[in-house]
Amino acid sequence: MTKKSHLACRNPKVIMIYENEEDVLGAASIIADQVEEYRTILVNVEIGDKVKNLKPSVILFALTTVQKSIELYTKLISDKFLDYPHYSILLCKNRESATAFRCCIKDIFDNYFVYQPLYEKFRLKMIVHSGLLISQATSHYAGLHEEQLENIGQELASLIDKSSECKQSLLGSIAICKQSLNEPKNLVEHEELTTNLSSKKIMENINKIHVEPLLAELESNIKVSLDGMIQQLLSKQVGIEVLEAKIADLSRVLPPEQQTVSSALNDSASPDTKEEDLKTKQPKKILVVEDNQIYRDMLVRVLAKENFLVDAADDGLIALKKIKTNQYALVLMDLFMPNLDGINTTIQIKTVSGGKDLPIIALTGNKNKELIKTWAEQGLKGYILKPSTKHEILEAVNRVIN
Amino acid sequence: MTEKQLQILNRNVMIELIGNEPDMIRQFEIDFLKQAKVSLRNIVAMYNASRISEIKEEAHFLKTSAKAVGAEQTSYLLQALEQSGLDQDKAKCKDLILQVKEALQSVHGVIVNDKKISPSMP
Repeated sequence: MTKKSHLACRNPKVIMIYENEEDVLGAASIIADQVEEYRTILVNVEIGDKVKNLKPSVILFALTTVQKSIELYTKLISDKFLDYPHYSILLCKNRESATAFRCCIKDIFDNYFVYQPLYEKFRLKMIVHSGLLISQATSHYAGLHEEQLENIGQELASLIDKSSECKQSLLGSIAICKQSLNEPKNLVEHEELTTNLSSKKIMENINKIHVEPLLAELESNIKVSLDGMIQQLLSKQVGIEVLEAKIADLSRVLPPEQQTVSSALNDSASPDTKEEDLKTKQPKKILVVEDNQIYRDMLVRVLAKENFLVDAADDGLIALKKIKTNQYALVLMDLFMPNLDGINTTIQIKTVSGGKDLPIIALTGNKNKELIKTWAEQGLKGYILKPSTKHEILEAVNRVIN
Repeated sequence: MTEKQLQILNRNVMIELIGNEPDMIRQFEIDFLKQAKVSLRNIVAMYNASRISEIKEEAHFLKTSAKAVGAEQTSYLLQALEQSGLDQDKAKCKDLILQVKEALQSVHGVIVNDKKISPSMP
């Protein structure tokens, strides 16, 4: 069976409602790769009936504007075409992401994804996957501040609020239905339920007070022991390498009968020297931050071949998360990236690293000299012109690291 | 280097970047074509929706990998497209999008017709 056949599944669990086929080709093929029961549907006057008949679990709205998607979704709910639990995903263009975010905060759509331009196909897959699992968690996001959002027209803001009310009303009806279905039919059932609940509560309390702290302590002890063991093993390995190198040097210089004496003499070197040797032998960890996967992979390969430990991130936000939890010796960073660009990431790194000087080398085209100048003011240690040769890259890296 | 001297696919660029590893070079070339197909589709959709300033970002994105794999003509055109997007010059964008498409078809031709890589550098 070819992948294309997925697009015309008779009873799809996932549907994408679109207006312009060109816009959704990329996203559609990604979902078709992931979900067998999937179908794309062109929006027209029969869309309500189609949705009602298909009853999909996950619905992606990919109309040309967020406003049109909100209007369609609200109409589907108000006209009772959508009157069952489902997971709604708003696909939007990058410039409308603030509006889409607001829609999700207001609980209209369950999630949103920027599909123009489409950078994160795995995130789209994850969203659809989560939708299929139909998480019913309704925790409210408390961090909404109007001033953090981009200006949204009053008309659109009002539409979002109305639509939110409409969706909440549907969710409320569903919750009431569920509750009435779960209510015990007679007292005996009710008593059984109460007993079960109280025993469950006792178990929960026991777990919380006694079992969970024990498990946490155990986990922490295991982690500490493992970290220690790993550290010891690494030190031993590096020590052996240093020793082997020394023996090799000696065997080149001295006759065999003097080698044992000489090696014993070398062993008496001060502990400080040994520690320094260990440090210099440990591979340095480098973070490559670049949104273009192909160039990022190339850089990772070049550096890994030189025995650096290499980590990668495809935008500034991911880089910041990694920097918080890792000790990098150097960061190679692109200038233009989605979500957070190189300059702003550099500014944020200063805050994250708590004043520690984490060296950053810029990856850039030669047309951006003015921006590089601005960037340099934030504390760059150098820059690499894209694409550069292996020699040039390693020279820049070694200059900073050493 | 003038526009006429630019190569469709200069393999020395990748050899100098990742080393003389024909299989890996070929894989990166194929990955580039896949990426270019999606990216060009995005650019066309942006043009059709008159989102000219977004074309600049997408052209810049694709230019990075075009340069890295040695698709010199393509990267030159993407640089021009990036500038036209910045200038909001829709007519020029259209012309350049068509040229980028042709340049990518040429890259595809070179890769398909050249199953064994024979680099000019040792």
